[in-house]
Amino acid sequence: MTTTDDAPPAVRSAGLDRAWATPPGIMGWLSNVNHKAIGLRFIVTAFVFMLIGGAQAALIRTQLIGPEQGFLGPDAYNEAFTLHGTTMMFLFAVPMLEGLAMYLVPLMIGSRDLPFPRLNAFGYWLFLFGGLFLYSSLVTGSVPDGGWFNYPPLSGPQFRPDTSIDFWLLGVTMTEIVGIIGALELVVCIARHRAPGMSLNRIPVFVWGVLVSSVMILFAFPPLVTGSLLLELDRKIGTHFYNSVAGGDPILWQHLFWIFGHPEVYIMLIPAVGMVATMVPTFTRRGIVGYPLVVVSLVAIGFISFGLWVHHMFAAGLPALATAFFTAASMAIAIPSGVQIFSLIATLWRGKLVWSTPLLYIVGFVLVFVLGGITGVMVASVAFDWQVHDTFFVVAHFHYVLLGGVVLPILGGLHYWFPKLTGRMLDERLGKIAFWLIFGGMNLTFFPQHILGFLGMARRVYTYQSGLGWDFYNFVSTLGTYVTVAGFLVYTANIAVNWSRGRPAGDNPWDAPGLEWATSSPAPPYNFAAMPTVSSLYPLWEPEGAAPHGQPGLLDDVEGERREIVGTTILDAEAIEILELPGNTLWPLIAALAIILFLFAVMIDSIVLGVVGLGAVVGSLAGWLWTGSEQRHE
Amino acid sequence: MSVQVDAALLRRQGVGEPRRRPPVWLGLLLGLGAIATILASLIFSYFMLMFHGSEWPPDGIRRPALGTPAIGLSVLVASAVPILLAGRAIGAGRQRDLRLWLAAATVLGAVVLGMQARGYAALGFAHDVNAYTSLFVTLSAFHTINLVTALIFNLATQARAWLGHFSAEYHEGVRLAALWWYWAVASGVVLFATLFLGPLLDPAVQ
Amino acid sequence: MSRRVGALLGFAAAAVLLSACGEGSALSPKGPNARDIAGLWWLMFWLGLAVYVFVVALLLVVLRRRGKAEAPVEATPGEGRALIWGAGVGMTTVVIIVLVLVSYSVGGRIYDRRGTGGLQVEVIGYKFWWEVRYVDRPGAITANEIHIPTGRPVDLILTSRDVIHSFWVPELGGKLDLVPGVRHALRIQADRSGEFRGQCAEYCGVQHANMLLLVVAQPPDEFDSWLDRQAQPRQPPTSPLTQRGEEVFVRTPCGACHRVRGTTATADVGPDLTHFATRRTLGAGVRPNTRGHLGGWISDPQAIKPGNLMPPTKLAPDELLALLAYMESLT
Repeated sequence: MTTTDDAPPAVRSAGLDRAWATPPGIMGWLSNVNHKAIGLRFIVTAFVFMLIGGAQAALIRTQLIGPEQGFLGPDAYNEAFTLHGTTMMFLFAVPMLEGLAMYLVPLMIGSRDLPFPRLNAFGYWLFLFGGLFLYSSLVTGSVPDGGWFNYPPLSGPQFRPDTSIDFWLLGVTMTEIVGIIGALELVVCIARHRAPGMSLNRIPVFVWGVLVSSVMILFAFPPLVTGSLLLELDRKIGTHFYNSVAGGDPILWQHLFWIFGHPEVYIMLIPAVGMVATMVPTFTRRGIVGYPLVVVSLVAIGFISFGLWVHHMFAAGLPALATAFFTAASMAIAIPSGVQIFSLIATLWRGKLVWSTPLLYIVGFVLVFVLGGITGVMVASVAFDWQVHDTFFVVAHFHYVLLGGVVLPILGGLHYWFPKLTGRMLDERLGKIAFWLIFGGMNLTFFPQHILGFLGMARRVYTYQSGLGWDFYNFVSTLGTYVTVAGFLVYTANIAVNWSRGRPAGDNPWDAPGLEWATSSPAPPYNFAAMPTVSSLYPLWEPEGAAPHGQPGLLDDVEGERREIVGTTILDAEAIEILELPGNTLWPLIAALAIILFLFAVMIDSIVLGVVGLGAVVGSLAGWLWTGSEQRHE
Repeated sequence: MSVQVDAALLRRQGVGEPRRRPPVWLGLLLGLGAIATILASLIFSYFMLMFHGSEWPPDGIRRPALGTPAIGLSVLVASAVPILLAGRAIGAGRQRDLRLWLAAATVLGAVVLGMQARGYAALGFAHDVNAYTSLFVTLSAFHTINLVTALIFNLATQARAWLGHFSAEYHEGVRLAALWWYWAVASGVVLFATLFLGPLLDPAVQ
Repeated sequence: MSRRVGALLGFAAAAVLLSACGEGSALSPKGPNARDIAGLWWLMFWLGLAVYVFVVALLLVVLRRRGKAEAPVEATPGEGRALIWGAGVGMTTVVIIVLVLVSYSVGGRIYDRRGTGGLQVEVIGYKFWWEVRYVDRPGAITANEIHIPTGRPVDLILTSRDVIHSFWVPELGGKLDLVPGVRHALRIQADRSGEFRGQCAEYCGVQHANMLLLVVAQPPDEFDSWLDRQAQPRQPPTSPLTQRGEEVFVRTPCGACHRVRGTTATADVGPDLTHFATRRTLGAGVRPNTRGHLGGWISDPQAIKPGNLMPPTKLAPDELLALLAYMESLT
């Protein structure tokens, strides 16, 4: 069977090139609404935030290398761990996964673009400006230091009367809105714009993961938006939602935050696991084992994760019966997670392994995530959690599941899809070196922290006394951090060097089965010259699994300057309509700027500026909506 | 065996026989789902604080009377009818009726807003007295904002109706504005129940 | 070679486990609750280890296999069912059911131990210290050091005057938050005498790291005489130096925040210092309670615990000497 590398170069239609082109120069760049451009911006920006968050981690661990160090004073340390957690959770993990989804999902399902391109572009600008807004607190010197979950009363008006926490609340709310927007768009794309023939049982597991996590986002992010709004109102206009003296309750914040916060970590895990399940067939030369079970498990994890949040509050004094339920639910979620792991192992068993950097990351995922999952089941036990809650044991647990379950798959995925994004291959040797440094480093960093938790080391402490038996483990943990940092530097160098000078990739360098590999690397703006049709879960491995590459077919011509995509039904992906998408426009950028203007007005308590800002927001939305929305074909 | 699709057939089908709501409808539905979750979070907050405290409202604040808001609620619910009729009108191609019914809904919506404005003025407490007043004002404001945006959407749709953008075959904008209006009505009902009937659930309430 | 690596790993693992059970650790329990939780941990540890070893072993076996090189193909429907259902669902479910049941049992035991018949001690959290009041002996007020009789349940009534804190003494049991506006009860009990280290376990601001505490368990008769002592007002100073010291205390900013029962200094902004000399540490555990450390603390607490709420106090050297002598006399 020939690989698609031997196929003739893609037929590029001049009409399509014209319709989907972006004007050159700065105006073109600012008005670009193509999902690949926007997705790539998300990925790069999130990657930069990841490096920043990693630098903060290095600062934290350096301060803790020994007892009573003077490297960071308490204020700087508390700001560092707050920014570390906030950056990693809000500015790196979800945006990176959404960026990968925005880029890859239309390619994987055979669509030309996401259905609401301007909304997509708006999401990026709001993400960028929201992150910069949060970090502008460093410039003003009023840096949030309430921790990444920002509990009142500490973060409330009485104990933080300055602007620091407002930067956190408003900046984070912006990223939440971006998440919701992205999720909305991905759900609609996956529901209604798959390639004809891509019925539910032919959807790649990564796409399922994105679908599940996007639906979760729609229900998980609003509680935090609400809670943040209420805290901001407490801080700015004197309401009493969290003030126990006036009938409020600080525990309300904890409920609202964790009703968001627990699903949030599964929102991160599910697409990452989906990525692993989508990559693994390429390196075992065999499809994923137990696909229906894998998909059902992802959905089950999504549902169950909404019923776990109180396990973050086991020490807050809630009644016994309530907490008992959450123990059972929190442990039960290990069952569908177990299905994922053993399906992966079964796939590796039955296949012929092709050793490469992405496969290393997949194996690393299993080793690290399973350990974190096991400690997760442990902390689900209320009595045990009473000892280890808010200690370094929990810090170790969640870093194992996040680094193992989210970061390793992301790093492997970036390595795997790098050729599709840039047209070049990453260096395998540098890739492997980076993997081993990161894998070894993170184990060295976090394994000792389990013990520190037992020995009595609480979280979020800027220093500790000597003679408690903590010195050795902290020292080892900090060394591990430096090894990990070295690994990330090698990984970044690999990307930087090979971005424009790496070995040219061709359409399908891994001989992978997915639709995204059926077009050039990188894909043209319209993804596929002729819209593919699909009759298998692994289209490129079937003899005629996808529409013949590079030959005339559906929508390979253009009427006028229209950007057209196909609309299909939800269940069976029957083609039912052709839709026209809007072209390049500056309105999304303008709307995002208007929102940031409004936020600054809130920060400086200026009613005049606030009114101007609101007016600008309304005006830009009006301009946006008036200049043509998605239209049916006439 | 690959799937056969006839592009020419698809192009023809875009006109005259829409077989499904367009994807933007699903998008708005999902967006409203997220906003509804904000509403649910606000209601959760209300009931949590209500059951948490010993007296509700605390500190001798008097609960606002139910009567006038109930009238406002009836007007709000009634405003759903002209919206429904507007959709039917354009579905049958009756442009004039479309404009008429949209305008009727606008008037009713404006009446509700006016009543809300008077309600705020006559409340007898401000948002910053205690948790009850904070909740009351914030939840009410949440509805006001939803109603205002529904009205703006409605007015924009009317403008488009006057410009002749809609036809019997294609009037998605009307459907979307209608969906938003129904959301404003439904959220109003839920918030009314929470604020005025909710306290009756708590035995500690006076 | 791999045997040596295995032995090395085993040795390292044993060393790690042993040190995890060191002094101050949750795994060297000194009371019934901590003991129950430690037992629960060891069960979970062995179960978890077995699961993890199983997964790793399976992975190693799988990764060494040489599969046949053939054209890439979709998986056969129904294959791998044994592994996925057996291990993924079955094994996981069994382990979880066991853990849920044991967890309920241990948690239930700890809950059942709660009651109101124990020695009642109010613990009130402040930034960054602990106020301790013995409910049955209204005069007995101290800070940062909680004495309890051995072998008897003690009910700590926890609340906060500012932000959320959390009370945690690993050797005695789990933690519970101190929430403003709420009173939570936490029952602790020590089986034997000793000094058990604790610290605040909910981030409460800039000096959260240095909000430490000590629980001192004493035989009942020793405890009773300690409590009697704490309930008394201060012994009047007898020497000219200590009399001068008391005068300095009351006159200077000390008396504006701290109470010494029996004098005119009755403020309760900071800790009660009536029997300060009986405490082993100062500053909520940040320094040992010795003359040198106390002198440094009084002169500039910000240098030792920056961001805590006690300002520096500039005193003339003779005033400071008198004050230190007085503080040492507050037994």
